[in-house]
Amino acid sequence: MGNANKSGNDREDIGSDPIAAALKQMHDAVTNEELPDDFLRLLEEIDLKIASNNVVRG
Amino acid sequence: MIAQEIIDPDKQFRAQLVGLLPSLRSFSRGLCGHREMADDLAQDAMMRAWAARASYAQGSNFRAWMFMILRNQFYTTIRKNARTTSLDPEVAERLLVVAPAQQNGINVEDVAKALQQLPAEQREVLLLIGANGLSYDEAAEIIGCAIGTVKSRLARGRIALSALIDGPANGGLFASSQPQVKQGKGHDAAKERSDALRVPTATKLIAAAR
Repeated sequence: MGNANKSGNDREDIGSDPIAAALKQMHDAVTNEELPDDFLRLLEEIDLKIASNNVVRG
Repeated sequence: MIAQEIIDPDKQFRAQLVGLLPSLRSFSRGLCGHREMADDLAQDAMMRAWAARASYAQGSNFRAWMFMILRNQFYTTIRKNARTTSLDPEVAERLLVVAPAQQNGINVEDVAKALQQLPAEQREVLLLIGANGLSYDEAAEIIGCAIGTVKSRLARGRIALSALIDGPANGGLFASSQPQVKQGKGHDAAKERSDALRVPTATKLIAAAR
């Protein structure tokens, strides 16, 4: 581990702590979930807005 | 010949937003302890950010900006609705949908439950730094406080979380862990952050429980 933090990435050291590792695991469990449909619908709304803005701009 | 492409700022903003959604959902879930409520909050933050995209300075820290919006929305919501903060831990356990797993002897579900019993100001720091891997600087920017405040909240949150999980009487879960190392000149920030997340001594755990 020694100089692993020189780059500013301390994941390695934090990973050695069980509570930090559990927090990271909770985080990973959510980030690995498929994005729910509600979010996809909002992104579609944004796409429509972008498209309509581009039409207005010509 | 290189085609000159005009980058649409809205498309650029959307791409950044999409890339951040998983982390945003995770932060929201950790804050709320309730899956549906957390997703509602994340969606709300997403649309608020879109509406306020003109105020985002291109090239600045998009993640910090988005997390700040979500955090502000969270506190607005809990002010309006007290039930968010008084969520039954057993309900939180069912709704968190964290796969039962052990991390070096720690049950992740226990950590998830204990996290919901912490004051929000400690919980958010643990989530930002411990779960999302943000720096002290970023966490301070999001919360709108000094770096020293972030550090002390992280230390207090860490002690309280350990005490909640295992109780102070047992001297913490990881009695064999080394105590915090005294810092000398030249210590780097990452090492300091790592030390702050380490398991405290039994004495500190007992003091925290009083």
